[in-house]
Amino acid sequence: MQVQSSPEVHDVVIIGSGAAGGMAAWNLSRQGVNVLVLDAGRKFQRSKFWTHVKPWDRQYRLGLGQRPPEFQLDIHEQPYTWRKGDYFDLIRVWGRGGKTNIWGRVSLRYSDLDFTSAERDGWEIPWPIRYKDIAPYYDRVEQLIGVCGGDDDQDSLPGSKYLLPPPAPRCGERLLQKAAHNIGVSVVAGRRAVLTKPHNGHPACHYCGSCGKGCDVGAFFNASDYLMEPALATGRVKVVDNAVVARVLVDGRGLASGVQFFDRHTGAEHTVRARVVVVAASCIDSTRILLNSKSHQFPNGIGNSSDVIGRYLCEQIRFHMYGFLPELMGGPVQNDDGIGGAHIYMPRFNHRDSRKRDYLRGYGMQFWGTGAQDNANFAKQLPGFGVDLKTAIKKRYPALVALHPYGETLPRAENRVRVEGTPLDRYGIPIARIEYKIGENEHKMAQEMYATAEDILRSAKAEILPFQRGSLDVAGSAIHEHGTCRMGADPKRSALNGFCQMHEVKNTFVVDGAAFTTASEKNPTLTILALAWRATDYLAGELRAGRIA
Amino acid sequence: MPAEDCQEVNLFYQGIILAVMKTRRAALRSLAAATSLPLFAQHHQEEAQVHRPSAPKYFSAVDFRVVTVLVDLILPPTDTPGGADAGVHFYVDNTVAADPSLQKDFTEGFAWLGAESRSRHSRSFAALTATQQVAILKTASEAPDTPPGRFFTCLKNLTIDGYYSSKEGLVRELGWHGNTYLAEFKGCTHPEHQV
Repeated sequence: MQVQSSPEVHDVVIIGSGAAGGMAAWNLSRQGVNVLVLDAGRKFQRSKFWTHVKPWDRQYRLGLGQRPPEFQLDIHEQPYTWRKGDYFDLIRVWGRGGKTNIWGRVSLRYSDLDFTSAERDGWEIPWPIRYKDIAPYYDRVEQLIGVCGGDDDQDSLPGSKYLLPPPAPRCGERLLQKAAHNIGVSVVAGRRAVLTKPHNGHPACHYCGSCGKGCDVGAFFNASDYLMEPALATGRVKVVDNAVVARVLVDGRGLASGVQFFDRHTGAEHTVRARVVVVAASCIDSTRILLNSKSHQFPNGIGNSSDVIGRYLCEQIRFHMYGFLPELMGGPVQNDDGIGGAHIYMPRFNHRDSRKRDYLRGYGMQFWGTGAQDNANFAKQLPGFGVDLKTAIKKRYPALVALHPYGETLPRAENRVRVEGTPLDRYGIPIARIEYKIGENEHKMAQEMYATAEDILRSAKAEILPFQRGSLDVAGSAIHEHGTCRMGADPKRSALNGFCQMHEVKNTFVVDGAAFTTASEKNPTLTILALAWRATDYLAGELRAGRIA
Repeated sequence: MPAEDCQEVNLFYQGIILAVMKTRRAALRSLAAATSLPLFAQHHQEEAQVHRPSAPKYFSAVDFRVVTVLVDLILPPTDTPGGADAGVHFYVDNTVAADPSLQKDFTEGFAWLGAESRSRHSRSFAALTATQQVAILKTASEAPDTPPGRFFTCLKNLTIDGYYSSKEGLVRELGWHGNTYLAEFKGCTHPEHQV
């Protein structure tokens, strides 16, 4: 098939339009830089979301053969593979805004506990930046996108002057907070990228709790409405949708010269030329593109003489524990929807006491699914059947609380993404193979995570649903992949500098979760936004000064 | 056009929220909460009749009778609807129709129910008294690691899914009134719950 290449040389080509790519497009275009964004899908139509479709109507519609918009990429369309015995559940969203269409909106600032962790415990390398470098960018991101939360900050959860008012906790959350307080564990207001007041032209949340189906009014940050649309309005952004990027192309000087992509549906091959390439396709997809970008100068993939790219994949460990609070059993049913997901958060505390621990790093805790839900899945764990079961379900329904701690995973060289010898996708490009296994450190941390969760529930005198101590959610299900193109001070042990710029390829930037040096116990998206803003400020400055291209 | 579209709520942005309230209680709460907003209380139609198929897709008439009995045994009608009232027998039929591994589980499960019924009472399961049916189901439920036990768990989970996603189960039985439009979220207002 004919390769379609355009002679035009774009200033910047951005691969991906999610949190990272959207931020790059927004920040570069408003500084006068012309950008071309390549997105693997197209815009999701808010008017088609099933946000307000009730569970019974959903059944009816499905029975008629209707389907809600499908956010998640089908593995049959674009396979990936994993090492036998180590399944990795990779969730990808191909379309404008990427995973921010359906993300959890948890927006926690990383602290110097994260940036300097390797300095203190010696495991792998520290970040090449510190909190003071990124703090002004956290400020800007929160003001731009709107994050609600409290002023109850801690050393593991830096505070902010820019938060919108936090939503009132639910009864179950208040009681959990009280129970945790009684055993010396601090639970604060959650920090969520949900608008509790109208913000920058976006409407406030109306507390339907149905965010997971996509918000049909755009009341939480998504990169399509909040970044891509304003970027397009500058007139300096072009988007090619349904563009499945395969490789970054390299010229004779060892610099990126452009991008090769395939039309998602027709399979037609295209190349576009660029002075700068910004890779933001999401950790695993970006890494696959970089590793497939082989050339004479970079036989191991662009910018990968260090052999770091693809390695140090981190997810986060997590489990769920459920209980019923005595104060709420058999009580009135409230509307517990709120802003969808927890209104509270337990910051990491295990670095503060004098207890000796047999593991490194730490964990925080979330509390999604507390209160009256639009289902009674907990009922499957209650014994028996008949009137007694029905009565038991009804009694417990308003009293449900859910705890799920998230733990930091150590970066390991053998946890990696590779493309050698993998099958080809429908466009003839090697697919990603994920080799990932958590280690002793995580298993030991998990024991304490279980103990803390159980202690909180015991303090609350909760009826605790049976659980299997030590059991963890399947790898990939926290959907927090990071680390496979990490930044660092030493080019032999990292692929990027603190501005997400490749050490070896000055005109190539990797601005999504792949750039992270450590995983933290906290959710990464706010930090992805801050790093991408900071990286593109630097890039814009370098372009103006003529030091790149 | 599906029933949901007939009562689709129109939203006006920029701080004005059109609220369609499904219960008087919720309407009063919302009016109280939104005194500073112009509120359009639009008349909305009574919810369209819930749609039920007329015949099962997968189960034979005889087997469907057994499914109907089973969902009512697991979640019986009390002062609130039971499994069959909520159409859970159709939910089970629909789900099994789409899943060959479930079909296998049900074929084996029904074979066990039939064999157990004939062995104890020389009749088919559907012809037994409720007490006799409960006893057989109890045998299965108390042996979760056996094939009948696994069939019971599968059936129970399907019944729970079907019932508590129905209006009869989620709204009438449990009292869920979520996924609506609120101008403000009050959360917990009980002083005794505070830290």
